[in-house]
This record gives sequence, structure tokens and C-alpha cells, in this order.
Amino acid sequence: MRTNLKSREQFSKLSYGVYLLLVITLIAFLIASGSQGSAKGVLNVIRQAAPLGIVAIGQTLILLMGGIDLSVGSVMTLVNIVASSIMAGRNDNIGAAVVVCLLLSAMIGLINGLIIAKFQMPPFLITMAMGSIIEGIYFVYSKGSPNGSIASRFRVISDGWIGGTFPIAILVWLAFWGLVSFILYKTPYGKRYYFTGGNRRAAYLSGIHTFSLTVSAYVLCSLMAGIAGLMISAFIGVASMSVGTDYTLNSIAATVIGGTSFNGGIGTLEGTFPGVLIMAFLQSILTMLNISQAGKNISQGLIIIIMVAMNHYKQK
Amino acid sequence: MLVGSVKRQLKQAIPAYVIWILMIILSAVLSPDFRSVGNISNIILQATPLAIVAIGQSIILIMGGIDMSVGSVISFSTVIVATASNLVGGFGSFAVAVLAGLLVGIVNGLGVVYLKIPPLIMTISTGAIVKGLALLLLPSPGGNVSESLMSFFTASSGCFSVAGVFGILLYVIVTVFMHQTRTGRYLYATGGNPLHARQSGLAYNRLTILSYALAGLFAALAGIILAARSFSGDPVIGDTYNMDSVAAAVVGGISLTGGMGSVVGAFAGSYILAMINNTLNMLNVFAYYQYIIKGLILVLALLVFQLKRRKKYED
Repeated sequence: MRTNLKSREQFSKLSYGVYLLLVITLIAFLIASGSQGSAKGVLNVIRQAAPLGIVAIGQTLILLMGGIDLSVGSVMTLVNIVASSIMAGRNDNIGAAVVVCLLLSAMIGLINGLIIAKFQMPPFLITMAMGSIIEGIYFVYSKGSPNGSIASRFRVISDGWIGGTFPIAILVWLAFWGLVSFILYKTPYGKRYYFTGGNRRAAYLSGIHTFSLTVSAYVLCSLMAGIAGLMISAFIGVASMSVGTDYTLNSIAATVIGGTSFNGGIGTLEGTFPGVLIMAFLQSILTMLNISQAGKNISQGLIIIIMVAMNHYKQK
Repeated sequence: MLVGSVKRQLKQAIPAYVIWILMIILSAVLSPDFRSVGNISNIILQATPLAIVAIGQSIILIMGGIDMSVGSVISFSTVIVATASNLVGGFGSFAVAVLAGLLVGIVNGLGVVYLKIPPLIMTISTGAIVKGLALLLLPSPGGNVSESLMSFFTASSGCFSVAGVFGILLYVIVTVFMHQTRTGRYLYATGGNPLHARQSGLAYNRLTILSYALAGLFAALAGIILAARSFSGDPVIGDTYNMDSVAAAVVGGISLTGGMGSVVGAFAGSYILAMINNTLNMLNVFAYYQYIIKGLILVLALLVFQLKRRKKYED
């Protein structure tokens, strides 16, 4: 309990730096957008960041617990393709599509978690192999050319604005963020993430069922990726073979910007939140400067290296 | 311990060779197409780039790290060979690509050693950066590989091309290096127990940087051969090699926890993977099933080899 409080206290110092960085990126974004810069433009970028925000919640949980999930991007693409083909543009099919997609992603998380926890395998290799398997599955499922589209009523969750001023997507993101924050900080189950991540052996010896915790963490993370996949589907409205690709690394980058450690046990969701926004503004700046794909890759890599090195020195 | 250890490490490679030989016999009996000279030289040409990256990956795994940037280094080196040929000539571009690979490896090593970034994260990040650089240099596949470089590597007699022989030669050199030189033994010691290695006065930092530099070098060589084979540069061609190189090493009996296994096994591992691809192609299996099969092979190999080892330690 004490270590948990300490790590959160320790983190609150880091988190100011993150908010400062967020303000700097926001100013850079406003300068780069020049005369087109407006509150609506900023809200629009945040709206587009909602899928990343949701998948980063899952990634944060996994990193806190001392693992890593490299299959989230593939889960998002799979959900996108399955959702479009089941919905086929018709509003009646929304319920079925959502249920199938969430079950699929939970199942993937369950398999990841069971293999990793039962056989004590390195999580990054298992989730990477799982990513490859999922990729194969959606290629085979769609025969290389995905079809179908997202129902118009479902697209509201990413495209809708309340009264034309505030995007619904941001509310969805905040709702999940609040829900998982509550679970993580206010329930005994959530506290176990910090214990297990901090010292798995000690956690096991003091009676925490680390096996079921690990499995449930991977299920939760995959579910978050599935929800993020539904959000991005609602955003683009069609099926696309590469929609999730960037999200694996982006979710990790956003999480480490927020101060979460790769060794587990240190980090918070209120750090990940600005981390996601920083990634979103940075990438829209790069898109405006017209160096999107190459720039995205380079910025992802540089950000992860710099933030991990910085966190390391701060924690010393 | 030291005398017996070479034998013990080489023993880890036996299952891979048994599987490989069984595969060869089975394919040769079942399919007449397999036995043709054209097909065999095709398999060798397909397996060689993977086999060469797998050398670097194996050295890193034996030392106790992992390198997830090799895929991007391969892409980057095909891009360099395809764009620099006009400026510095065929073998000039060869040298530039090799230097670039070495540089990425050294940066990886420095990050792991001095910034204390976990190897997985460091190499994933540099991988993303290098991929970005490759995309900047050559946004879409194309470019121009020098004629002299291409004809040098693809020149062949019978089943064997220069590239294939070059790959085998590298394996011989690295096997001798890993098992018979002091530095090679130190790499095993570091992977076996980093703390003890440091306490016994091994130059842990230098050994780590050296192994990442070697991984970068071998990835660059693999990229050059890939470019010579396909006659073009491609900024994303290497993406699958991250997982494949680890899979080849694991199938070859190299432990993920370091200090166990031999580069020799990775050779069989890469040929097994290449032959599975080849067989699937010949059976006309829908190309996308390969993603599924590769993923399953990696998981299975991990389960089989890692679990067996764990039991051995417990005994």
C-alpha cells in the first residue's frame, strides 16, 4: 500500500512536466495551423485522438502490470474489417457487429493472457506472434480486399458533435478513462496492478493471484483495443487494411510520455491522457508540414527513446 | 565447464537439424518439383537474407538482448543500395549500406548501455526511426541497383549462387568466432549471467555494443542481398524480418533468456522457415495464410523449446 502511494506521489511530480510539454505542443500546433487555428480545430484533433486515447488506457494497464501488448494495432484493424462487413452500412446490424467485435477482441486477449501467464512466455513475442496471426486472419477473411461500411447511426460516436460545439468522441474517451481510473485507483483489483508490476514474486507470495490478474489485464487491454477499433471505424466509415498499424507504437509512446515505466509498477492514467494529446498534436503538425508517414515513424521512435531515458534518470 | 560448453551449445541445434532433414526427405519424396535444381536454388536464394539476419539476431539473443530494428535496417540498406548506386557506384553503395547498419547497431548498443533503455524498447524505437529515414529517402519501392553488384551476388552455378555461398561463409566465420574466440565466449558468459559476467570483470558495455553493432552489420548485409535479388529498394520490405529472425533463432534452439544455443542452429531454423514458405507457395496456399502459420510456428517453437529448458533447470 505504501509503495503504491509513494509511486503515485512520485509520479505527480512528473506529471507537471507532461502538462508543460502538452502546452508547448499545443502552442506549436496553433502556430503551425496559422490563420486556420481555432478552438474547433483543436477539438477536432482531440476528437481524432479518441481511439488512441482508449487503446492507450489498455496499454497503460499492461505496462503497469509489467507486460507489453504489441497486438493492439492488429486487433483494431480486425475489428474495423469485421465491423464493416457485419454492419454492411445498415443500422439494424449495429448491435450484432458490436457484440461480435468485442467478443473477438476479448477472446484474443484471453489467448494472449493464458499463454503468457500459464507458460511464462515473454509477452512481447507472444503478442507479436498473435499480431501476425490476426493479420493473417483478417487478410484471409477479407480475401485481400475488405468490403462493407459502417452504419450511419454508429458513426455518430466519432463524427457527432453535441449541439455542433463539442464532439461526442471526446465524451466516450473521457467516460472510459474515468471508468478505468476508478477501477485502477479505487478498487482492490486495481491496486493489485501496482503490486504485481512492482514485484511479481512478492505480490504472488503475499497472496495476490498473479495468474488471473495477468490474464484479466490482457483481456482488458484487448477489449480497449477493440473499442478503439470501433471508434476508428466510426471515424473513417469504411474498412481499411492498415488502419490500426500505427496504433501499436503510438499507444506505447503515449503511455511512456505519461511517465509509465517499462519495468512495471510505476505510472498513472492521468499521465497517459496528456501523453495521447501530445502524440495527437505532434502528428497533426507533421501532417500539416507534409511529412506524414516518415515523420510519424521518426517522431514515434525519438519520443519513446527520449521519454524512457528521461524517466529513468528522474526515477534514479 | 568451458571445455564441455561448446558441445552443450551445439547440442541445442540438433532438433532443428532433425526437423530440417525430415522436411527435405519428405518434400523430395512427395514432390518431384522440389527436387529440381531451379527450386533448390530458389530456396537458397530465399533463405539467404533471413539466414544472414538470423546470425545477428542469434548473437544478440545469446548475449541476452533482442534486436527489433533489424527489419528496418534491412529496408534501409535496400534503399541505400538502390539510391546511392548512381552516386558512389555499386560497391561504394555496398560500403555505405554496411556503415549505416553498423551505425544503427552502435546507436542501439549505446542506448541500451548508457541510457539504460530496455533492449526491446530501444530497438523498436530506432527501428521506427530508421524506417522513417528509409521512407524519406525512397517513399515507394523502386530505385536503381547497380548492375555490377547485382550480377556479383546472383551469379550462380548449379544450385549455388554467390549469395548463398556468402551466407554459408558468414555462418562458418561467426560459428568459429562465437565458440573459439575469447570475445565469443564472453558473449555467452554475459548472456548466461550478466551480473556474474560483470563481477568477473568482463567489459559488459563494450560486449553489448559490439553485439548490437554486429546485428546491424548482418542486417545491412541481408538487405544488400535482398536488393541485389529483387533489383530494387523497398522501404518496407524488411518489416517481416523482425519476427522471422527471432523465430529462426528460436527454432534453431537458441534460448531467449541468453547464454544458450548456437548460431549453427539458426541456419537450420532459417532454412526451415524458408522451406515452409516455399512449400506453401508450391501447394498454392493463399499467400495470406503465411502470416498465420508464421505466428503459430513462433508460438509453438517458444512453447516447445522454452518449456523443455525450464524443466531441465528445475531437475
